[in-house]
Amino acid sequence: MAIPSKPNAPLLDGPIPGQNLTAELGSRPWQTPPQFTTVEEALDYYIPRLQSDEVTEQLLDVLEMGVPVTTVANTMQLASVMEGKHSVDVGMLVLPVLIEMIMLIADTAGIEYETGLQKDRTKVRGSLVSKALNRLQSEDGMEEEQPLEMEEAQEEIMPEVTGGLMSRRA
Amino acid sequence: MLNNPAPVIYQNMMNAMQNEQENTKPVTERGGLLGPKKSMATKNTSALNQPANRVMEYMKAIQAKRQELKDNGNS
Repeated sequence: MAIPSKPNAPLLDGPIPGQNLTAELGSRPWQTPPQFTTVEEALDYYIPRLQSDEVTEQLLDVLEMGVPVTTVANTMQLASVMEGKHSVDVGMLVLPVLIEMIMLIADTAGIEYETGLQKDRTKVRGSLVSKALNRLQSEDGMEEEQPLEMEEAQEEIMPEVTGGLMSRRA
Repeated sequence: MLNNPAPVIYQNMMNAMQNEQENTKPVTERGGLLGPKKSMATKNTSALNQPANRVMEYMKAIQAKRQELKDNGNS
């Protein structure tokens, strides 16, 4: 459960009290024993599905739209976990094979796709740009105000120097 | 928060595959009647019992197919 940053802040995204009792334990598919317990069984489930014409067409459409391979693979395994096909552990183990398999299908079809593996540092997220702009604007605002304050402070501190270097200070 | 673990898992598997390739040294047979019949390096049948190692083998097989496809496409 998320802990609110302030003691009295309302918790808006957390479950309501008693929500865990709204469904009986074991009534959800992911709470039941998984259908496939080994990596091989899970792959026997996935690979024929991936190779079917219907799924292949949909998969290629999604990849052509620019959805990364890793996202597609993770969505597939997560959906199967929710359906109670296999456990989360088996899902994690199956993921790299699914990624390779999807890339093989895409290569066979000859389409360009995004793997989602390499960190492209040239691309910058829009949210980061807006955050940087806001920060820059706030800094600009502070810089405009600061010199005036500094000038006033200097005038207060530095007394007018009269006379030569050896003259007495007031 | 990590929303998609797939890139991390894939990268870890690739690193493990590279490490395995680097660590496997060619086995030199020792002669002599009293020499060991099998070296310890060949006794890694238990490694294949680990699911992660089996996944690595599947990945290698698919990668080989992809490479073959690329080579055929380029030639």
